[in-house]
Amino acid sequence: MITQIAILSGKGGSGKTSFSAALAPLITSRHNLMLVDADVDASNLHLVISHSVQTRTAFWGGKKAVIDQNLCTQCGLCENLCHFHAIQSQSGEGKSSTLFTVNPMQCEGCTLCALQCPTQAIHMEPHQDGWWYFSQTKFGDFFHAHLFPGHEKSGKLVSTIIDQARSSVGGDHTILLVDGPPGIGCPVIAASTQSDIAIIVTEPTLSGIHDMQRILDTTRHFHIPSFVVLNKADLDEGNAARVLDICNRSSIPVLGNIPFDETFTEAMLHAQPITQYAADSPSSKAVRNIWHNLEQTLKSR
Amino acid sequence: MNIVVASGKGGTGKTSVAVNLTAVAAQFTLPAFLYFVDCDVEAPNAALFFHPQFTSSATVENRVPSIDEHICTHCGVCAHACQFHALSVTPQNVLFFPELCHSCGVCSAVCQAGAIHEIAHPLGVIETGNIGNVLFMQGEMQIGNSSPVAIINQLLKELSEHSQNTAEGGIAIIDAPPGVSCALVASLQGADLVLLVAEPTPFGFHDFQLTFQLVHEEMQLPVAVIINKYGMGDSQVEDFCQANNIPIFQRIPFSRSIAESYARGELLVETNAHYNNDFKKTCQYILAANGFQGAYD
Repeated sequence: MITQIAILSGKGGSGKTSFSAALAPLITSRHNLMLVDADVDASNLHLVISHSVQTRTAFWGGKKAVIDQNLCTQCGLCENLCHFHAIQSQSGEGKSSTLFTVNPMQCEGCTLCALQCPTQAIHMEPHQDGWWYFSQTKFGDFFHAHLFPGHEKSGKLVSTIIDQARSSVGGDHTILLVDGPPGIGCPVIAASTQSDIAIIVTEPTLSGIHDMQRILDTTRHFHIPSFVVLNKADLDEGNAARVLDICNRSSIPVLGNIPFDETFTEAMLHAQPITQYAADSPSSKAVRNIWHNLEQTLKSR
Repeated sequence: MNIVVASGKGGTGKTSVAVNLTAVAAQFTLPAFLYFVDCDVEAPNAALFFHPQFTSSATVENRVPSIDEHICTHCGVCAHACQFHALSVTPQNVLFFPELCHSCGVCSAVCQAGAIHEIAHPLGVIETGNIGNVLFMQGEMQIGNSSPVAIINQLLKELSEHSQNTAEGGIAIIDAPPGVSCALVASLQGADLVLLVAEPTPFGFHDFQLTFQLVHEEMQLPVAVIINKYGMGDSQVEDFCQANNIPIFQRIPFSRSIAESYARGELLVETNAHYNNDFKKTCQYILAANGFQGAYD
């Protein structure tokens, strides 16, 4: 049995990864834990969780169209049909006056050009979009990934590693902690949809509040029960009060506050979760308090 | 001239830099029309600092299939052809998932029965307004939609059309989304200069390298760096820039009072003369780097 928790924010830089790392030693002392870093194009959790990579697997996200110049008659139909402006033509030399090529960065692999080409000059080739890794850590198994910069299919890569993690869970109850990406789009949705709860890490800034509302609207849209953690809580009293007010009005439980604390950066520089690096710091105490509230919530579900 | 402010890592200060740079640029006598474009359409924040009066709002749509169940033979060819799993066909009906649809046109192309026609599906909105002499444009994605790319493409298309219609052309400061994936790539189309805002921490340096690889090595775009929260972590970002001859236009110190001012939605250049000067210098570097000389003070 799995309890999947997605750590989200809307706003980037609010502290999702630092918070996820801080929770790991606390959770693992009482539960089986599995970690997933779902921020696949800018993954950071592996920088503070000491891990030993066991396997590296190529991620083949989609396909890209390739034009065989020997079969191409330069009719230009593919360029006209492509909805993504992925086919470009340029003046060529020799026997063909125009050269048609596919720009793989724009190609979405839909196959429309390949299907419609009158001389079957276009075929689809699998395209590697990144790697995913299975590692062991002292807190439990860890899945993370590296999407090649600029590549698509981040949502599919997130789904891949979450599915891998879920299918590797044994018979005992396991908490699957998913460190999510910023934003509210495809990779966030992929990180959330199998989650039992979402924890939104926010900050008392105008941008943080605005984005918290966007991510809460998103988790509500996908029917995922949500909770809030207010990080850097003492940065602005007025905004902190606004966060609490918004949560109260929307019946979103607040699990706790974490102070604005440079110790988080020190812990990062030492490649450790703050709850290991500085267990007695005010931030670590705050995270322990949040974990206590979270554990009570999970028990009552 | 399009200046894209990007980072890779979220929270490094893209929006802070973009809005403050624009506020300072607006004080110059520029040789071109000034634009601000918020391409972080999943979570746009720049308007919180500028309070623009929006004068127009337009829905961005894509085309998605509508299946006529009376004509459909439930052969399943469309679902099989769809590379994005947006269609599922049972003997009784067809299920369509608009959030997964990429608007590629394959399903209607392969349908033998002619049961599929295209209809509009809303993705989000683009709003435009003025802040003094700056034209402010932002996109906002509809909740539940998965991809910001079409909205970003439309934003940049409208920017290009508007600036082509002005006598003096345009200088656009574009606030990019976080991440190093397709949304960033879309925001970088037509960029003349990329300002990478980096945070000098292990997380910041890790993501900075990925973004630099994409922007400079793969997309061959000119890059300059602004190190934000300077002094909070280590020197890896700075050392990397020195080793690779990447110009550092500005170092904004790590300061709780700057963070507090940001929290309140204040423009740093309006509350602090020292930072106003720093951003002015950055503006001058940018204009000089792109061949704009002499028409500003």
